[in-house]
Amino acid sequence: MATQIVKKLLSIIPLVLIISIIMFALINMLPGDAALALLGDSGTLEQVEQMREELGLNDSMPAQYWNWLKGVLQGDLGDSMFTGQPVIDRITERMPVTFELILLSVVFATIIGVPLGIVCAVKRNHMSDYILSAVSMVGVAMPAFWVGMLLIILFSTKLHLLPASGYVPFFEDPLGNLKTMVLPVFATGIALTATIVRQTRSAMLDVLGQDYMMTAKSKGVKYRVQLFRHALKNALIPVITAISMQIAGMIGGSVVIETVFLLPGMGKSMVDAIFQRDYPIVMGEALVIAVFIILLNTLVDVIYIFIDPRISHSGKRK
Amino acid sequence: MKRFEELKASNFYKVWRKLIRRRVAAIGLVVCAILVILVIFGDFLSPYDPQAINTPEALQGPSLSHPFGTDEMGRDVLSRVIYGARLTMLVSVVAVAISLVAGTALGLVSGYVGGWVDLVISKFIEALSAFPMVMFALTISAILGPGMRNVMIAIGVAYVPAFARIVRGMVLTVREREYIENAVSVGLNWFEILIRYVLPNVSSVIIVQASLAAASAILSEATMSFLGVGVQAPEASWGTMLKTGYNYLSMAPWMSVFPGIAIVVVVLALNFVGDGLRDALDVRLKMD
Repeated sequence: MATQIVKKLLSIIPLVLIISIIMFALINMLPGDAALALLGDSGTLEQVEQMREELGLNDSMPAQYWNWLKGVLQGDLGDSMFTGQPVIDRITERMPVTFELILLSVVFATIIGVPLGIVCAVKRNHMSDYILSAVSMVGVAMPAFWVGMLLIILFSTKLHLLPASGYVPFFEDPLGNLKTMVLPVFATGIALTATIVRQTRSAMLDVLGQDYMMTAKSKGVKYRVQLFRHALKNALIPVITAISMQIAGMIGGSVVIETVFLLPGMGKSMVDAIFQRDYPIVMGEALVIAVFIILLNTLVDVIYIFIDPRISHSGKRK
Repeated sequence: MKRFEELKASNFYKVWRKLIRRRVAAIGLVVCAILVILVIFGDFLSPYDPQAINTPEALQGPSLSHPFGTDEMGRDVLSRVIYGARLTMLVSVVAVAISLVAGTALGLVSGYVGGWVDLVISKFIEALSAFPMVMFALTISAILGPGMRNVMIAIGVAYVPAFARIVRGMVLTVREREYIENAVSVGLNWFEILIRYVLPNVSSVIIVQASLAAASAILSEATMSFLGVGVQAPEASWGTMLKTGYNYLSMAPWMSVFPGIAIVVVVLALNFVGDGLRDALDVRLKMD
């Protein structure tokens, strides 16, 4: 088990290296010359040449990559071309908003999705199963930001119940913060809820057909205990996988949800940066998020090893 | 008559029979057929000129003359939804084509050649899939600049890992089959083997994945155009319509509601077809 975990952890290194190479290549594909951009139109040819030398732009590609990587490892992702603020500061400033959005959405979707999935499995081929399955198919097919727009139409402009946009930090005004988060969380969470319902349903059906469930039944274990202690516990592993695999997509989705609800998170910051041509921010955020997702996936793999020692290193999850 | 018999015995016909026997898949196919008709004959079918500006009638709610209402310039929303189907479908089809070709090629080579080639390609693919799709596509758009062509490339590249991974997995199982061994012993080179023997045997997986990817590419197009990096005004796609609608949420909600419904209906239909194909072709795919 310990060797498996160490192996898992070591496998992060090549992945992160490749990610950094991809990012470095993308940065080098950006239009425009950094030396020219810094000097503006006024620079003479010698000045540009001198600037290129100072910035290390005349070094070989591997040397440039190495310098860039050394900086990144020390938390230096460059500065915003617009405000001069270090990219890393901007990220730490904006990250909590996105983090809160994702966390609340996962909690919301799990609380709603798992029980509904159990209902579907238990009431298999009944009316309630059909209706819930149909609703969850529609749930996956809706663009999250469109759901957000519908929610604004309904709850903000028609019913005046919740704010359409804006953000208050949680520690300043917890209630106000939650109020502004309700609609974004609902919009982000609905697709995940639908996925969780479908996954829970199929996982529960799988487990309910297992021999040990028959054993539990014949031993006279109470139905509720059968369902929750024996079945649900075993059905949760694929559900957790499904959730962890959705998180990458949700972080991507947060870009557009934050734009719809004007939340000052990382996604909104990235979109703003794209329109200001503030490339260091775009690249820095993409890099940080990709590494975060790799770490998250590895964490899930490690948790699996703890939950179920039979899962081999290369098993179940790819 | 003989040709009909031949057709009946063909694989295509068998799969088709299985597919249309599933009610949900049949509904999906009908919706797709309607969509294709709208894309091709949209000019004759739409009640108004989708680009005709008519300011006196701006921001009117749904009525008999304008079933989906009018937008901020008095253009008929129904006509624009029909017109927008073209660019939305174009982006989706081209993006899927890009990812299908590139992903299949990577998956085939990686799975068949194996060794360090496989190691490099699969690590590369794994690293690529750590970027959230939307963010990766946005990053590519930042480099290429906004616009429809670039958004096709961005979405296409972002979907490459999905195809590559599935194809690689299939190739690994196909590779051990006897007919591949025979082909090798006859002296065919690896390229010929891939194209003539491996590819046909993974094609059903690719078809299923393509129909599901087309659905999700429609959602991506909507997202990218909504963010302003995709299709640009005055051209209309469902995504750009939602972008404009967002500015009129309280005044003219119908501008956002109807293009959104169009997206949901088509995405559902494509998902139905994809799921139906998976059953009809008997493909075991992990759906996530």
